[in-house]
Amino acid sequence: MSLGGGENRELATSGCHAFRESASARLDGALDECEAAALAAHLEVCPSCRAHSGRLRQARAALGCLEASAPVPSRLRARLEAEAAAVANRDAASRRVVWLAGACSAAILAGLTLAGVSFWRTRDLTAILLADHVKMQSAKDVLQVASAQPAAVERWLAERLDYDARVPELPGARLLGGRTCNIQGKRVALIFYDGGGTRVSLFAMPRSALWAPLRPAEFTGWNGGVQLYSRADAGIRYAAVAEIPGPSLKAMVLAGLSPGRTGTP
Amino acid sequence: MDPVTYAEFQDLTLVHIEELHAYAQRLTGSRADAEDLVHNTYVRALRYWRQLRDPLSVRAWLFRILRGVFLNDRKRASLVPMLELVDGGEHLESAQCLAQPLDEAVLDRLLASEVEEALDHLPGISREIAVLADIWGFSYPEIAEILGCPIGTVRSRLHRARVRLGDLLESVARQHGYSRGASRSFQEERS
Repeated sequence: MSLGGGENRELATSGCHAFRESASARLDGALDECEAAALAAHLEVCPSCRAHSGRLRQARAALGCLEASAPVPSRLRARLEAEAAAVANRDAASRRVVWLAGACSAAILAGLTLAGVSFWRTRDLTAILLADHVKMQSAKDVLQVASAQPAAVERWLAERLDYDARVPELPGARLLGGRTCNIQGKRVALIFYDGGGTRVSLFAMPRSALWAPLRPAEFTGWNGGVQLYSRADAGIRYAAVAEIPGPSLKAMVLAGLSPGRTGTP
Repeated sequence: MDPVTYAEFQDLTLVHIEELHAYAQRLTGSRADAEDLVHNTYVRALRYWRQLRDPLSVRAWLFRILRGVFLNDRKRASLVPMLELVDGGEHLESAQCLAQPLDEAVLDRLLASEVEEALDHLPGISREIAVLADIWGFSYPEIAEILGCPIGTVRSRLHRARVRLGDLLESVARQHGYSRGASRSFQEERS
């Protein structure tokens, strides 16, 4: 579209309001060729709209100086990544279930049992424990038993579990209490401590119930600083998760579980 | 278009977390609430990740989810009335026809906090459109998608927001003693 000459000048100076809105849209690259040409012709003959256009550009530039991103605290990033890991686990489990449903027939029920075992093995227990720890951090009323006395928490757990979970005293951390939780379909103990303002979660799980072993490494780093240290002791797999340096967490758990006793990492 | 895998989805979304965090801070006005809002947004996005068909739209998709979660939380808490998008009824003041561009040097002197001060005076939905367009650079269709309104409304509201913001910036500059000629009121200019 071309506007020029006296005949079109009159057209070009009419309807300032519409041209002003076009001037705003031009800043966003939202004009088609015709609109852009009409606007350019109008601006040539309308100083008021030229000034208006400049003012719009300035307002846009002022906002463009404001921050478009904000640093994400490591704690939040860890929460997000734990959620992503938990969804990945659920997703893998769902896919496995669908596959099993399609592949298995009634004639191989025995094989189905084995496949079930395989299903659980695929789950990454480390990710589950880290995700649960993070989830408990933000949840309310996580304590089902509140006591600073290990014996009292042990008694409470003993009434609800089919194995004996010891509640160790961790140096530098104050016992808050505990609760039960389900890990891979097994009800297990989860004990909470306050490690100088940082929540320490200690999972105590019977080794015989764990189809998927924890990763062999003693430490599992996690983006955002959440660490996991696990150690077996008297048939129980203890896994401590906290946002404190790995060596400190390890020392805390080892001291709590009395390293003099036989235990396999 | 091939569907996005979960691993790709994670990569696509996590790169926008800092922007989402800034948007959340702007909506909630609180760091703690912003963290929870981003977390809840991400949980929701993970729940519906298979619905994301076009990787190019992931950013606007996340912003839309975040805003939806924010409004739902506010509705539940009944803290303030929901934002409503009402089209029309706003007319440019005649004084703006006489407005001149601000002195560039004056604009340069405005601090971010002073621009925020001006921004705070924009009506809710106009402010939302302006920040989505001019801070995060979303296109009109993307803003329409995020806010759930027609593209034409985005275009007209954004224009009005910029006009109003120009006035507000001038006013803030005057209050802080940056502006010289701007001390004249519109009425003085007209007379």
